Amino acid sequence: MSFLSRLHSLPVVRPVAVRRSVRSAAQSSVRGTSENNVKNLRDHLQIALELELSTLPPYMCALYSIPDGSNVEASGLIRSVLMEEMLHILLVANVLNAVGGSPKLTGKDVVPSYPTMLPDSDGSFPVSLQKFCPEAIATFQRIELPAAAGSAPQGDHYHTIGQFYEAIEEMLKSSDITFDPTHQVSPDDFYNGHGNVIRVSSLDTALEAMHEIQHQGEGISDSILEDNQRLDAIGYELAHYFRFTEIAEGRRYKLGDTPQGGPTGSLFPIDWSAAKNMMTNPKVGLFAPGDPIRKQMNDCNKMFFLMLHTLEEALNGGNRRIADAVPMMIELKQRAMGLMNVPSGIADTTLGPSFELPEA
Amino acid sequence: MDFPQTTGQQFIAVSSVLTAFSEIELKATGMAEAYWQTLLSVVGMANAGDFLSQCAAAFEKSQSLNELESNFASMVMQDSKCGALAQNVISMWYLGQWNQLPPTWQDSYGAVYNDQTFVVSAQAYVQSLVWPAFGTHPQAAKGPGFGSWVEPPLVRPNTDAPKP
Amino acid sequence: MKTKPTEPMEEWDAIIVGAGASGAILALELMKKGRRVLMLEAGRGVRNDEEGWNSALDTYYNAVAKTPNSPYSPTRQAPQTDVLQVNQIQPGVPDSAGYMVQHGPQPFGSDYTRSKGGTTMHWLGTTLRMLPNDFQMRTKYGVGDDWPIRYEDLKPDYERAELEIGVAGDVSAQQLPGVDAEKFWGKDYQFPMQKIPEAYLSTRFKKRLGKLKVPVAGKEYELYVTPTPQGRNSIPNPDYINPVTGKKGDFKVTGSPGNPLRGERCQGNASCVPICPVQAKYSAHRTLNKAQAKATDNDATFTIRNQSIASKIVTDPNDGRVLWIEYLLYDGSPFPPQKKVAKAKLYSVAAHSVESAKLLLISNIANRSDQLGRNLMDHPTMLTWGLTDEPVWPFRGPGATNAIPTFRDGPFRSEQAAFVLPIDNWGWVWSSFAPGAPFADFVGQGLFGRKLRQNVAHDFSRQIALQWEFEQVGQPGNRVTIDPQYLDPVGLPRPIIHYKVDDYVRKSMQTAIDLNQRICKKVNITDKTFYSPGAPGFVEYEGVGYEYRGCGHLVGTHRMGSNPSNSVTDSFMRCWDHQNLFVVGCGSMPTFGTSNPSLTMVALAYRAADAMNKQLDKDHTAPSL
Repeated sequence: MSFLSRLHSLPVVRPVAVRRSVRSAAQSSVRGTSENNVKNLRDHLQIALELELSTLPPYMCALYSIPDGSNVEASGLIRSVLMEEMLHILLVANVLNAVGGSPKLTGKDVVPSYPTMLPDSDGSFPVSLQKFCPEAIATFQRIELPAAAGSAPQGDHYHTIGQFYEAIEEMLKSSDITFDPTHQVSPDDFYNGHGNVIRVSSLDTALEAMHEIQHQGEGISDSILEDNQRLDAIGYELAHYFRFTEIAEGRRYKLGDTPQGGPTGSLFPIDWSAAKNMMTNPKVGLFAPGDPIRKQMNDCNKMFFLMLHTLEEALNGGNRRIADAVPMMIELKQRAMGLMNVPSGIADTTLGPSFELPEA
Repeated sequence: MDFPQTTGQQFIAVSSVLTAFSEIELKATGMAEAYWQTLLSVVGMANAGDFLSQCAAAFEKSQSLNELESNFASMVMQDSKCGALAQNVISMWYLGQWNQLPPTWQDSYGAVYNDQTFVVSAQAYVQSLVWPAFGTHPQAAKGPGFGSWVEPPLVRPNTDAPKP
Repeated sequence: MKTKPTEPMEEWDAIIVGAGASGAILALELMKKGRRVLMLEAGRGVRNDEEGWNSALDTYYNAVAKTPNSPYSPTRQAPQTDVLQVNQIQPGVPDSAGYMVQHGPQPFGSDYTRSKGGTTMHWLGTTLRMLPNDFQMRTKYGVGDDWPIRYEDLKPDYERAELEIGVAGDVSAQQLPGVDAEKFWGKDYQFPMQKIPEAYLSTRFKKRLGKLKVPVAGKEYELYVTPTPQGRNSIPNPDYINPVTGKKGDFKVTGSPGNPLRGERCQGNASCVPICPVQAKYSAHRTLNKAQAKATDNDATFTIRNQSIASKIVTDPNDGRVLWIEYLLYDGSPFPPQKKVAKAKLYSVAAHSVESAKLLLISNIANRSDQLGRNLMDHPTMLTWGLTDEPVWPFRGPGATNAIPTFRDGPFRSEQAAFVLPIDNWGWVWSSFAPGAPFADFVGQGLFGRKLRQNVAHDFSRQIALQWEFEQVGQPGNRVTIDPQYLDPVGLPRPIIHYKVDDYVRKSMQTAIDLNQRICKKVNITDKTFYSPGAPGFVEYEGVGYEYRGCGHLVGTHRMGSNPSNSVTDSFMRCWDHQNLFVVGCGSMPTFGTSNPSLTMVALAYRAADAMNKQLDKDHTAPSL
């Protein structure tokens, strides 16, 4: 079962209603059964983890298809978002651990098969593994699309990722859970990216972690910025959606720009044609057993899952450290980039990482 | 053993014998075309063609990889024209570098263009294979991450003593 | 007679010559006080964004010989030395092949970088403090000279230097010979960042070495391996107390000057020398960036003028004060540079040992003591190398994460040089141009295919090298001079180098070879060391040949001292002869023991900066023409 359908099957808390202090039936029922409440919260957090995890492969494909030296600004922007998605995984894991859950990053259901569906306000939309191209960036914008300010969800499902996180926040606030500060990723384990890991040991720190995720992803209402901070020359304080908008338009935002008006800062060159022509949604199964291509792709998948296993162990207080996963991530990148140099034999495309559960 | 049909595939097949990296490993560097073009441009079509022909002959005489290596040793590496070219093909894959051919080679066969020692391109250095051959990455490229050097490398080659 | 410049001159609070680490520290401290500062840099200003750094990286990738200066190509007008231009010197025939004209008898093997950022562009990043006895060589051992200050005087500035550079290390793991740790570091002192993880190679070496005892000069010593403090980014240390703010844990890691979201940790690119691809290693660019930001915040002025070669300092013949400085501003055109002049209340020459001495010699100033240009030192470095009996996986991580400090001090120093022994983490890169040259040897032997690959995997994974860095003490004959016979492309004199590696060092080379044999036996290394009589640094001692190389530690040339007759400057690096002229840098040091000089240099720059600020506070009147 994909996380999208699991997401849709979760009991719903209406975040907007809660915020307006209107006691809904759903909320009072949650209050009533504390044990269910906590389990529900953990389920939501696990889904959040999977949601964040599912964005890594598409971002990696676009980023790694850009050869060294081309599209420097665009690749810097994608890289910054990718780093922050990794931060979000660590943040969600910290909250999940603090409420007594155990973060799960491996297994059949956790990593989706691409194309996969992600939720948005119009239902859901497909996300593919594809090279750096206008379609990929449009998809990324949709992934990170902010909810309109004050919009209330209609119906039974969460329509944007932001609303989903708001629901988690409300569950955190309304539960009487005691926070367990063991198994927390330390701020020292995250670097080279904007933002900070927050150790979760209380409701306040849990909410802080949630806010960090929401602000980086969707930003704050009616602003291109992720928070009330200074927009510096680097521009990584932009919420994700607007960083992708910069790439789509080949133009930087500047201070004073609005979500509606679009970027009006300096132009920067985009060269879509420089990207490696990676096939969309590669699959190991496209190649016969015994074909060296199949082994090469499988080796790449092995590295991805080795990294996930290592992270999972580290997040659950096992013997591995977060730092142990770093060389794996870099090796994964080298293998993925290597695949993108190998012709697939299908039209004029190259291979690419398929992020599938590896074959033995 | 079969020798491929197209020049590009032939160069990869020959390179795989010379370097002991698999064809797909070589392709994954993205450098095959650049190295073939370098060989072609420096020594010219006729010399490059002779080189591939001599390699083809070694392939045709061989039934196994052992035989192929032994035929390469006698027919290619020890050949006065092809030996130096084979060594430079090895140098390009392992170091990203074309080495100026020996003066006697120049006297006998005549390179045509820019025969001096040079790094084929920045990317050629980044993709050079000598580094992964002993469990590391090129200096100043593909850094494996903070603290990775505390442990043996993640991907380790076989480091047993070569058989005599 | 001095001729007054005809065009109106710019006037500044201070003019700094050289945009390296010393100059950057001076600028930053002057900016904190809201000064107006002009900095003259002879070389290029490397583009300080990600693309700019990547372009230097590409230059390195494309270089056949990946020497320390290879990523940083000089301009035609401001040439620099390349270590490949070092040759054996025939008596009476100066070697002028490189930028420096070498008179010998031995070649000086070190280089420096003439561009914005200076030689921090390619320094390794080792940040050893000098030992207390290093400051008192004459008193303690009867060789070399004493500093006019003691270790304790410089200690607070060492702490500032360690903060600014961002030193990663473990204070408790430092074992310094003859040093009372609590007194040396201060109670509870910590480095700003946790130690750089120790390389696998070093830990294997350490384990196998165990507790090896060796005799040197009739006394027994135990060899011990310690992690080396380094100026590269690691995990912030929560117990660090910021010496400026006094706050615990107050240290923020500074990423790449071109992109703060890179380089917040060392990535293990194994290329600290000559270029860290993510700038996780400190370079003066970080401090220059800070100074620029500080200028904006404090309504100060900080102007860096690149491609501006200081050509002459003009002083008042009556009171010795500097009147103005002349410089040559050039661009990429073939036209000759424009002559410019500028004046300020204070001047500071911080252009690295050789260039600073050269400028003062050209200007014919600051030399009442006849010490200017003299006492040029380096750490003549001898390599020993071999193959271990198991893979130690070299070429991963920083150049050296560990060293043996046993011989940094001891009674033997009255007869022979102290030495420090870093355990090289990059195989035979320095001794044998590995992996390229040994690989070419394999191919030259006819190896190819599987046999070639097996040989590479087997041998290269076992490469190990030890780096014996010998202390040198000041010798008046080891010096920088100028000669109108040798001019550079803009008509300025090229540095002339006279240099000798004497028996004080050579005796320790002899000791080193003995120790190396003992170490190889204990650690199980097959020694492959070989010194060629044709090598530039080939020297003999008691009938046996050794080979040293330049370590890039250019020190001496404008030493500080206790009085005008024995030194160029006072201990604040103010010229005895010119009260508004400071000369700051590695050249200020009368001795430098076995410590890589950059940390001490930065500490000294803080000391000089304080003195300059104090003098500017006092001196409100601009110098008159």
